[in-house]
Amino acid sequence: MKKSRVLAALLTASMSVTLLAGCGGNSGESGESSDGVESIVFATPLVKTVDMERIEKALNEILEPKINVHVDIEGISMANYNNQIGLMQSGGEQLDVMGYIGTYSSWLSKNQMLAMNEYLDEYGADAKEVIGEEFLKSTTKDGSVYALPSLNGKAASMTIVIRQDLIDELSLPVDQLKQASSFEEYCENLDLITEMYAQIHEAHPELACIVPYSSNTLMFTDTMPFADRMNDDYGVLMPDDYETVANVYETEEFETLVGYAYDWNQNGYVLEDATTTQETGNTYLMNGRAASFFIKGEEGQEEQIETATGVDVSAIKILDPFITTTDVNSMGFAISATSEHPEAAMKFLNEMYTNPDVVNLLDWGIEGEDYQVMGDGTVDFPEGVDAQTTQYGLNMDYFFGNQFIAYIWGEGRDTTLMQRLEENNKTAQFSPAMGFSYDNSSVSNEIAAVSNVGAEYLPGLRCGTLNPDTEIDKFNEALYSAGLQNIIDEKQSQYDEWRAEQ
Amino acid sequence: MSKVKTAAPRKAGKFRRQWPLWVMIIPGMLYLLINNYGPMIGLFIAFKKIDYSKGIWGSDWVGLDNFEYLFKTDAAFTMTRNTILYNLVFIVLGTILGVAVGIMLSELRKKIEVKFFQTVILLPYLLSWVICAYIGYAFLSKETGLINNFLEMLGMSAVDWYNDPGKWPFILTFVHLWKGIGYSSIIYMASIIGIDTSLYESAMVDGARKWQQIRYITLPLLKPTVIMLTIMSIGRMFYSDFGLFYQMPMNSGAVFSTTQTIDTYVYRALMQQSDIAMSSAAGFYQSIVGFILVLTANAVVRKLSPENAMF
Amino acid sequence: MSNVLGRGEKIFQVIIHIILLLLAVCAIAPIWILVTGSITSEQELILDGYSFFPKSLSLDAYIYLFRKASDILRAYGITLFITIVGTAGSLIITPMLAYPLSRKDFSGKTVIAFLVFFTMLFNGGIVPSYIMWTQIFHLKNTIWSLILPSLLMNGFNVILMKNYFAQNIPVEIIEACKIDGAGEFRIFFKMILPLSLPIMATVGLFVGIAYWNDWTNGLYYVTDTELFSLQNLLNRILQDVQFLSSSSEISAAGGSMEMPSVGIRMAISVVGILPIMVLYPFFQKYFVKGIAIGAVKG
Repeated sequence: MKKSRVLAALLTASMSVTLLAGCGGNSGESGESSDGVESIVFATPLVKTVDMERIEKALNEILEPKINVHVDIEGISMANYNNQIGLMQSGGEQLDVMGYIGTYSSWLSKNQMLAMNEYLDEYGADAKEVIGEEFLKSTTKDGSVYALPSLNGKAASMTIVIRQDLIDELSLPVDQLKQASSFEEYCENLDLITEMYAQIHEAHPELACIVPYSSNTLMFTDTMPFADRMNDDYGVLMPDDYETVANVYETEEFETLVGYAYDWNQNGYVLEDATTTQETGNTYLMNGRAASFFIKGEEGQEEQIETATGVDVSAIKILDPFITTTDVNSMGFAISATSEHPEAAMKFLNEMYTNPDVVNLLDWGIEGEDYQVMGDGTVDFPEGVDAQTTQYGLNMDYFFGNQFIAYIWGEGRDTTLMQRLEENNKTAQFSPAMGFSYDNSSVSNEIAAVSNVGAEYLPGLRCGTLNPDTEIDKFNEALYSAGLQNIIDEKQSQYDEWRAEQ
Repeated sequence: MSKVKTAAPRKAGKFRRQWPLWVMIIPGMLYLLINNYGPMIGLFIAFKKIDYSKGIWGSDWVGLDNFEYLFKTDAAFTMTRNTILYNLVFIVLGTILGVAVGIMLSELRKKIEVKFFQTVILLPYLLSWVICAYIGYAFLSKETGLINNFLEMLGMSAVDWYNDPGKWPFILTFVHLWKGIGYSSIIYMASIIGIDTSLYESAMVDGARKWQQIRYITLPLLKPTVIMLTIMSIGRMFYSDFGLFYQMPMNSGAVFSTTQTIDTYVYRALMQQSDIAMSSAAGFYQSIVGFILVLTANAVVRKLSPENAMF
Repeated sequence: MSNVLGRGEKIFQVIIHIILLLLAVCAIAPIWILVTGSITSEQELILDGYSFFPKSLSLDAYIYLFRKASDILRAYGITLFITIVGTAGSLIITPMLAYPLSRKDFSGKTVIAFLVFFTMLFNGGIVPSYIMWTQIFHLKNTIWSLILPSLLMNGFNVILMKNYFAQNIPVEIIEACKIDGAGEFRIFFKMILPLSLPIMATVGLFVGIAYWNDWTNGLYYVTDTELFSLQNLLNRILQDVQFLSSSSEISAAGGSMEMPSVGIRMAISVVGILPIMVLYPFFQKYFVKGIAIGAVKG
């Protein structure tokens, strides 16, 4: 009897020890160390799981001597990124620099980012200069800068990617496709493409003429030419009137576009599983199912798709680029509202936009281990490493700071690409609402309802499985009853206010 | 302790005798305190408008604003109806099948058979929903699905499963049972194994047939387990298995009318905004309703058969 | 039980075998698809879809995994460790809480049972839990973060056990032990637990599977790749694929959309369930043992 009491007491004790064992570990890493080096935490979304420790070490070898900043990289799976940032911020965990992809406006409405003007001027002057006034407007609200947008090719425009062998075999008139500068011209392109699809379909009925590149949309159906999406498509600026916020789904143009999709679908040109597939256009292309797809892309995409799929393709821009706030601020870097080291954070950000060593490290990994510089100035895998065995291979060069100062990946690629991208950024047409970003926190209930309506109808409309003649009306009815008008009104009033200030 | 002693000597005497029992529950209760009750304080988030610059404690109170999106929408009826109906069907069919399979498993005579069937039936439970969705897609895809291939082979026309809301109540119920039956049947099987075998032996001596043994011995003895599991399921009446309702239909909008539940609605509603206050409000709402339903169910059980009430 | 089967008994056996076989087929067919899917060439999957007997086999997915063997093996190790430690811990504290609740004479019975049950209805959500475990217990990026939060014990299992004890342990046994002078601890460890192998096995199985399959703890509490469990690894891949294929920002910015093929996703999944398929039959003897003791007890 005594023995079992002892036993029980031991068990109880061991459980409490287990519970407490976690305590005490892992703390006291942050803050300033004795040698004056300030430690910051840099959270970044990652498109795949990689071990960032090696990178972190190499990064600090550059940063500590130069700017006295030690960076702890928290690589977080992209799918969980936004949640995780919310957790870290509400939990009072140290968090200083946060990269983001697509969450700017959600962060803005919840004050998750620190207004960084003073630090930017003092410690980030170089970064400020390379980003430039125009782009910085996209992350500025009421005079406060909340983030630095990633520098990459922003002038992406609607592009059709077609298999080269089909172009040759059927002598498809691709050279007649032109970069449209109006909706009419754009439709001419789509008419031409319709004819091409008819040809392809006749010659190769086993091919899907068009597949979604990603996100269960044929792509051209959800990008209204020269319209400003104003962040979320619910309330946009149409090209005929850049002053009034309109419902894009009620426009004739939308009906025309999804009409193409519907006709194509009826004729059997579209991949049958377009609305539900989880594979990308690349996969369908590579495995001989797809003849073409649309992307919103920039120069260099053609080569990238060819490398990824091993299929010879032609990528033809069919629309003039039109840059909006959302295009520019879609990804970038912010300082956490909870940061206690904003100066150090800014010093680090400054490096990410101006120091090629830092950018190359984050983009491609460690020289000699993950990449090597080739004779033509590009970089590629070193001897004995390939896409499957690489320890890094994030390929997120579009994301980390300034892409224009980094190496280009892939031996034999045109090294003038970066200059061209930079040039396009300057020459492209900008939306008149460039720099306007809206705060949706006062209409969050409506956004919630409208998002659900959108999820119900949009994939079908965008892939042409729903008949626009009947479904568009139903869709709009559902949108209005979900409160779309409130969102539009709210946007309009914020937009008017913003314009008055300009 | 001494206070209690003077006030209620009998109770204190009982306590003195039972202190080992109280000691036994300490680790478990401590864990519940840390893992469950501590975080429950966080339910207050549901009543705040989160502003990270002020921190979650310092954010403004907004009353019931965060709950609005759950009710002020046309989808409210559909998602609530779907959630409740699916749960009811799952409870009824899940129980019947679970008990039936549990009994069958316990009746197997060869060890090797028990091993084989139990392992196999449990397998689906081990797969993650995303993988299940891939497998579902392998069967249901319009282009290349196994079922459509089969139908075409028979000269029938292909079915567009992911665009046909009428099919999904059956598909989802099937998938739910397919994935969960191994799990629930094990609970029942364990209860059956625990039944005193002498009961069956004396029944057999009395010439009771198999069916009669099941009817008069097994089922009555399983009743408490069934009631307990049902009450627990009733507590989760307003919850739904997110993976089942979101992943299995491949997020297909065309079938929302029969696949949208409260959880999928909340997920889609907050995808863009990712608002922890609003999601916490949804959880709060689901819990409160569940709580009320459980109290009601328990009260009913207490009336009908007091010994089976949960508390 | 008698070994001579009556006619009714025979029919009964035939019927349950038919039904169980049907169920088994339903359960195996999809798993078969999973396994063949992982060894079918990607081209066939895309062009012709899945089939029970693929035409073109390809071991690419497994070769890919083999090349990542060190990551996979470490993840296996982590999974195994948390499963064993977690299940053991759970099988200590769960019955210790459940047993007193099953005792009709235990004065705290109703209140404590309600407190346990209440945790099944309400939870504070991930935010406060995260704060609790990372800020107070500092579990972030430790192995304990995969063991302690949410999985160690849950109300469901406690109530399941309590119910079993209440039903299957005759009060007379406890009384008899008390008369023999045994203390509560002795009764619990020497009598109750050995008599409850079926429920211990059941709960152990549930908890073990929950640990084996868990990836949410890993998702929230671990960013250090060395602590990734197998399911964490798999689910990160699946989630990232899903996210990537629905993100428009990355392709617009010129990012490539390369992702692991379906075959690889399925192969990891196979690797994830294989050990359970192999180990589970061994584990089952505890279910059978329960019968024997039940007979002795009677």
